[in-house]
Amino acid sequence: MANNSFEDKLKELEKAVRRLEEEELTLDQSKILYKEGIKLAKECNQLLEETELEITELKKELENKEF
Amino acid sequence: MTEITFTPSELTKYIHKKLNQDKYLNSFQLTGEISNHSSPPSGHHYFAIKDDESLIRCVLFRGGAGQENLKDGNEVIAEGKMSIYQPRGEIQFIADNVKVQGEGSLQQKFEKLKAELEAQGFFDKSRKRDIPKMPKTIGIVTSKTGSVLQDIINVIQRRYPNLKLIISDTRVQGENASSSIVESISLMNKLDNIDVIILARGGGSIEDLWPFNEEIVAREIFKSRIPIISAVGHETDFTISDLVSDLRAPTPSAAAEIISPDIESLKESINLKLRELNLSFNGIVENLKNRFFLSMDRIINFKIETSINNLKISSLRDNLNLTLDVKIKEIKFTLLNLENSLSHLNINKVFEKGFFLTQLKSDKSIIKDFKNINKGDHILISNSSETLEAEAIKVKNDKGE
Repeated sequence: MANNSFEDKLKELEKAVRRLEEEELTLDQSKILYKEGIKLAKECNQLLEETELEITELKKELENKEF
Repeated sequence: MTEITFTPSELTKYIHKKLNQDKYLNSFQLTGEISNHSSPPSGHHYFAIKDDESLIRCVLFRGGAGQENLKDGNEVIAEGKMSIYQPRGEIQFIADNVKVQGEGSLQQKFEKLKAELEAQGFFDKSRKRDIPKMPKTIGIVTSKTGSVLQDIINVIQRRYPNLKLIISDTRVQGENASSSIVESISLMNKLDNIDVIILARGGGSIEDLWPFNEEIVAREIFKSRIPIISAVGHETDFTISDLVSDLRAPTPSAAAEIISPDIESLKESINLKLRELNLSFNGIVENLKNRFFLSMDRIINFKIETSINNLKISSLRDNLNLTLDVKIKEIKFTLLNLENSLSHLNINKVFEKGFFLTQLKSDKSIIKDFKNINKGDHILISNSSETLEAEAIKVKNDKGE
């Protein structure tokens, strides 16, 4: 699950931007971060496009939990 | 068997007459608690006066006295008479003056509980938790039937469908509503994935909303591990639940807006991050480039300086050459002048002016004076082309010797 949700990806993206802005990086390091950031932004957008509202009832949730 | 048969209009007319003739009902006071007050644009006021067991519909026509006292929960004494609204056959109290008799019992209960809970720190700002900005799972405590749930779903669907909603069908009105609300909140807290709970109900009278003013509900909200947004009734309705919750939303739709980030502004913020990413990366590359070019410049400048020195030397040499040339030319010029002056001395030019060269014939010596010339000496007189031989006949000096 980790790093797969939109929220996590957005956080990762924000981290990449911050690092690029604030840290002293070599050209290679910043190239990797830059590519990673572009990838994350694309994935974020895609997740927003594809996402669907999921609605369940509490009883069902509780039953599932008991298994 | 009775002999009387009425049509509805006959009956309402009959009741109307009876009411008017009645000793008491034609003019009396009705006392109780105001409920369901509404005032449509017509300017008339419709409401009910009730006690624990019964409720009477009332109207105060436009211009009637005591309109300002028509507030749900107010305990009032109204003057007026009973009447029947003939189109619907409904009995109603027509008030012409409404006076407050002190606050109604529900309102009193509300104030009392509010004061108690406030004293116990239930409403303290310091205990209000932040509502997560980007929740993943939302618990919704409301009735499954009714428009409130659909309103919430619609807003979330439009703004941020990247969510999971867990709905707990809850009674939000009437008997057992408070225990149903308590149960829903309690069960929600047994799940570990719910980020925030919305406790919602549509608008209604103070009686309708009463479950949200009960102490057991207040205590369950206070106990909840999960932050709760209370969205009960309309913007003007305040309940104990609103006060205890971590956040009060004016309406259920507003609650849905609060917990759902706008998908469009999210997309925009992703694009913003992309721009920042580009900017930062370009900045880094640009910076490295600049450093590289700076170094290159220094190398090139060094070369240029060297060649400038070379240039100086060669120009010096050129200068030198130039000076020499000038000197040589000057010398040549002087020589030329000299030659010219010399050419003035050319003997032929002298002859042209009528001068002649005289020589002694004997030794060919040029005669410069006559000291050595004697009578009978042969003398040669020449110009550039011819020679004349002559004989000295007489030699004279200044003394005539």
